Amino acid sequence: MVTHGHELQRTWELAPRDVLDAGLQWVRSLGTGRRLMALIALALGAVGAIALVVGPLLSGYANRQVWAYTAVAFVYLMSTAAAAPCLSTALRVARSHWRRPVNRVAEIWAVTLIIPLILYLLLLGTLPGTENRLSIWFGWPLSPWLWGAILMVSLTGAGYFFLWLSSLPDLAIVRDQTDSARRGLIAWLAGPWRGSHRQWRMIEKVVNNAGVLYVLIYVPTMTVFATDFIISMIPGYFTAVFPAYFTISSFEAGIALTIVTMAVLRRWGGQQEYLGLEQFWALGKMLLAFALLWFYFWWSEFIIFWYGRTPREINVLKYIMAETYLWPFVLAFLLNFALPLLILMWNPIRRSIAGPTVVAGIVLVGNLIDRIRLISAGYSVPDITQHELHEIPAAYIPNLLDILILAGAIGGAVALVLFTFRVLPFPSIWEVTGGLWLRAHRPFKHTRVIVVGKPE
Amino acid sequence: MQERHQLGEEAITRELFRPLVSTPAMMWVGFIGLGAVLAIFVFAVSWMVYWGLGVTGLHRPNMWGFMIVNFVFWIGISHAGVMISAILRLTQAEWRRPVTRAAEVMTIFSLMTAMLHPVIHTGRPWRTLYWVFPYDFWRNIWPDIRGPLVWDPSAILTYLTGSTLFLYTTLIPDMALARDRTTGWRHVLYTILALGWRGNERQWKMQTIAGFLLSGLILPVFVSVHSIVSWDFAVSLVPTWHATVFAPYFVIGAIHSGVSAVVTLMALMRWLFRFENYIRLEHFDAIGRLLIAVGTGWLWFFLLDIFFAIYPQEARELEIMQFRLFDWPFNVMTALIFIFGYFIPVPIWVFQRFRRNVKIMFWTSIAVNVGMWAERYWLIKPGLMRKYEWTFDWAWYRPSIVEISIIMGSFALVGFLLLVFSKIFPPISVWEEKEGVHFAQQLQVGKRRVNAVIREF
Amino acid sequence: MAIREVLGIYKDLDSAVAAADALREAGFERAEFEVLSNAPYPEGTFGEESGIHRLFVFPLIGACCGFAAGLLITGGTQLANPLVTGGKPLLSIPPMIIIMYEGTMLGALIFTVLGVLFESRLPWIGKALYDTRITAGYIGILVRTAPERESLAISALRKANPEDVLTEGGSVGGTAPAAQ
Repeated sequence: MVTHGHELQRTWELAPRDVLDAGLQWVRSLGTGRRLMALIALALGAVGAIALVVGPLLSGYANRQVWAYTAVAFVYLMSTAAAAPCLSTALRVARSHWRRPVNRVAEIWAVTLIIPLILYLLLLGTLPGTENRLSIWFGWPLSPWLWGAILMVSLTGAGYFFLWLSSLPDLAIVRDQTDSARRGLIAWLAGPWRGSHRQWRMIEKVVNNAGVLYVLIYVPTMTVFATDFIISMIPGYFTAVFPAYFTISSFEAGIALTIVTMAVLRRWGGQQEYLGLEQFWALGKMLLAFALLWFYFWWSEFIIFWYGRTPREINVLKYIMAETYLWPFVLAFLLNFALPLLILMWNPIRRSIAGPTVVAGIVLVGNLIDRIRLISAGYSVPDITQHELHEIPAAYIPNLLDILILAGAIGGAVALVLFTFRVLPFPSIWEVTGGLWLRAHRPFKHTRVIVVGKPE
Repeated sequence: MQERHQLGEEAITRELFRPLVSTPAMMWVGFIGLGAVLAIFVFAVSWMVYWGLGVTGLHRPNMWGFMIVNFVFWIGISHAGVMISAILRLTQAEWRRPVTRAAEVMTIFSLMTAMLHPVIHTGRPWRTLYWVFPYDFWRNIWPDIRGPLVWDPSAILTYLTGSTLFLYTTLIPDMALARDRTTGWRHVLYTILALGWRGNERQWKMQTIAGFLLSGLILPVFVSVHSIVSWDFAVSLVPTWHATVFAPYFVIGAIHSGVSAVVTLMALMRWLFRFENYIRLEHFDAIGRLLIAVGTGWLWFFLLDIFFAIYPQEARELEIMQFRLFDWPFNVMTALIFIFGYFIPVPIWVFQRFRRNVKIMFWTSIAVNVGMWAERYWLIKPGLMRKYEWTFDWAWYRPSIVEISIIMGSFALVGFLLLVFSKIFPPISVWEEKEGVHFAQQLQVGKRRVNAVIREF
Repeated sequence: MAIREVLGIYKDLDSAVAAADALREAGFERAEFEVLSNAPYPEGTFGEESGIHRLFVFPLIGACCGFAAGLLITGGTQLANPLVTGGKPLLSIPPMIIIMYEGTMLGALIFTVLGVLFESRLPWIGKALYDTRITAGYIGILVRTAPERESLAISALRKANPEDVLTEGGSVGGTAPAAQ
């Protein structure tokens, strides 16, 4: 259906029954393709785990550089998979209806949080105590280990809690409508949900609050990790804006990951009716905004260093941007900011499915290169107790084990998501059905319009 | 839940044009009171111009004082207008309708007021104007574009021009309405400003696209303006100023204080012009929710700034931090910033019943701006008061009565200009309110009728 | 060929839409009539209208002009007075970017507003039929047609229960005069 040049998405013309059937069809028909993909991803994860044992774990913590790509894998998952649920929360708080089919796509990535948690616990050995060096912990007892771990465990817990809450009504549907073979875990997870009036009145508010809680933990966690893994590892890198840059660029990657997941679900998951132009267009706009913010936060730091011109600042600039890691920086600049801007600034591209998807893919690569640059720089300085970078270290070139560790972490995360796909309906039945009551396409004189209900 | 007035178009016109044709007693009080403070302002500026900068508290090394702090504060306030107006237009938020006009006007007047400060601050304003305008090379005047003081005027000029054009573009349809209903000088004025607007489909279409396009263009400008103001400080090597976080930190602080100022303005308009049908509790509710996010974002940047000032453990930074946190009067200001800027208002805004209470919203918004003014002072002054390399002396700064009068006068000036504006132009966009009526719908869900709106895309 | 104008004034949306339909039935093209109102209605309410415009070109032109001006001012200043300050190179790119950015945005903003005015055909100083009731909430349907079709337009407009019908000669009333 088209009205004055804009496509009206069919989602909002469906009956609740259609959504229910689509969701149940999703959990009932697990194609061999999906199972194969999950197994490949799992195998990749297993290879990564072996590489982790053979490489860094057997080498011990004496040489921090060996752990660089484990840290990259950790930071990359934190910047992408762990950021996606924040996007979901933002969309929920904004109360638009188009976001309803998107939420689960973003939130499902919370299921991967166990991987960065494990990696973080392994990486604790690479972080020296903070008594004799600069750190945001100022020598606080048991820092950074205990306090960082508390943050990471809280984030993981909040992520799983958020995912569970937002899936609760759908888990109950799966419990009641599919064969008994799956009832064990699902029934346990869906336990308290009966769909009473009281529960329905509470659920949106509780899910929103759980999302907000997640974001409120995510931001300080990223602030702390930006400091522990990067700022305090590079002597003389005195920058207050970097944690914000780190967090904002993670939000950018979180949006990108959601868009790519949406595109995959559309192409191979049969979700064309739910994930349409409307969602891609809206998220494309957000991606463009965050690409601009990437530049803004990077520039805010750069201009101060460039103007300060103290030897300390010039050396840091040379190290992470201008000399040692020049090419990773140029690529990160191009892929996170320049290309997304040049592509998405055109409305016809933004208002397409391919446009935002391609840019999202670019951003995911760009974010990875940026994280490789920053972590490699951080893990390559021999003496981090200095207050200034007197000698600029050489760039760290990854070996095969490093690549396998990185690929394994990503593969493991994808495998977890694919396995969770088996139990969670797509689209989110309760959320999309809730939207059907509050959004309609109506004839209005000579046109058809979108009518959006504002119940609160 | 979206609340709605059931007013006809005629009633909307009459109510929203009321301030233009009638002057309630409180408005007279406002004119006279603000006018009196303005008179003091004019006297103080004249006194300073006659006797020179010596009558202020400015002396080495404190060459920037109250006026620059106030400049930063008003630039901050000016951020709300465009932020509210542009973001709400881009997201098609329904609750923008009664807010946009007043917010945009506040942007313009606070920007103009802010711009006055550096000019007054030069001590001989006419000479500054003579030197700077026109910007020409023939007199061998070479502004160093590598210095941030040249960036400032370029950013503010862009922002002022952009926001004035933005306001004017959205004002044209209301000028046509006023043109058709007035006589005498008003009719002449509105006829000129309406540019012959007829309200055909093409003009409305352009008006709608202009709203989106100008919003999209002005948002990056608004971010750049306060960033550039922050670089006035941050690109120097003064301890506590030379911080990478200054740009986004200033911007989020500006949004925090500016959006709070919009709340203050909304409450005042509701009381003064009896706009209860337009500026409704749901609008306070929505803006209150926005403020929770903005305020928390501001707190994050505030803490980043403090923590990373201490992080390098450099003596010169630590000394000033200690001075800021523990010495009078900055210790009190630290408390003021935390308590008024965040810990009183934000927990209150968390509760919907407080967000829907106009008096509470009014007083919390005032509290935020008290905290934010203190924050600007706290950020700018301590770094200048100490001795370090290349400064040969250190001294306290105490603002003189002249500077205090100028500060008070700046508030009076913005208030006075807003009152004058609302006597000549409708302070709420009339056509946007009517558009809201045209776009209003209802959805039936079981036994409940839910208010709804038409979305075009 | 002379063009005559006829303006029908309608009290509510339904009758205005009916008038637009009646005009189409009477053989009038969409380009021959326009709808005047005091606030926008959803696009396409009165049927699809010709919405071709080039507004999006304006900000691009403005941005290019502003960028060029910014480049000239910043580059020109540094080249004309080559004085090294603060150890920064001549033709320092970062500060140039800031001023060029502001110039670009200023150009884009000014040209956008010029574009809006141009595409809205404002300022409009020509003569066209208009009625102040339009800003009071009535909807006007303005037909521009050949003199010989004026009466056809009037009768079509009258079919939809207008409040009034105006021609260049003045009001001809909302209903046809009773036959003598």
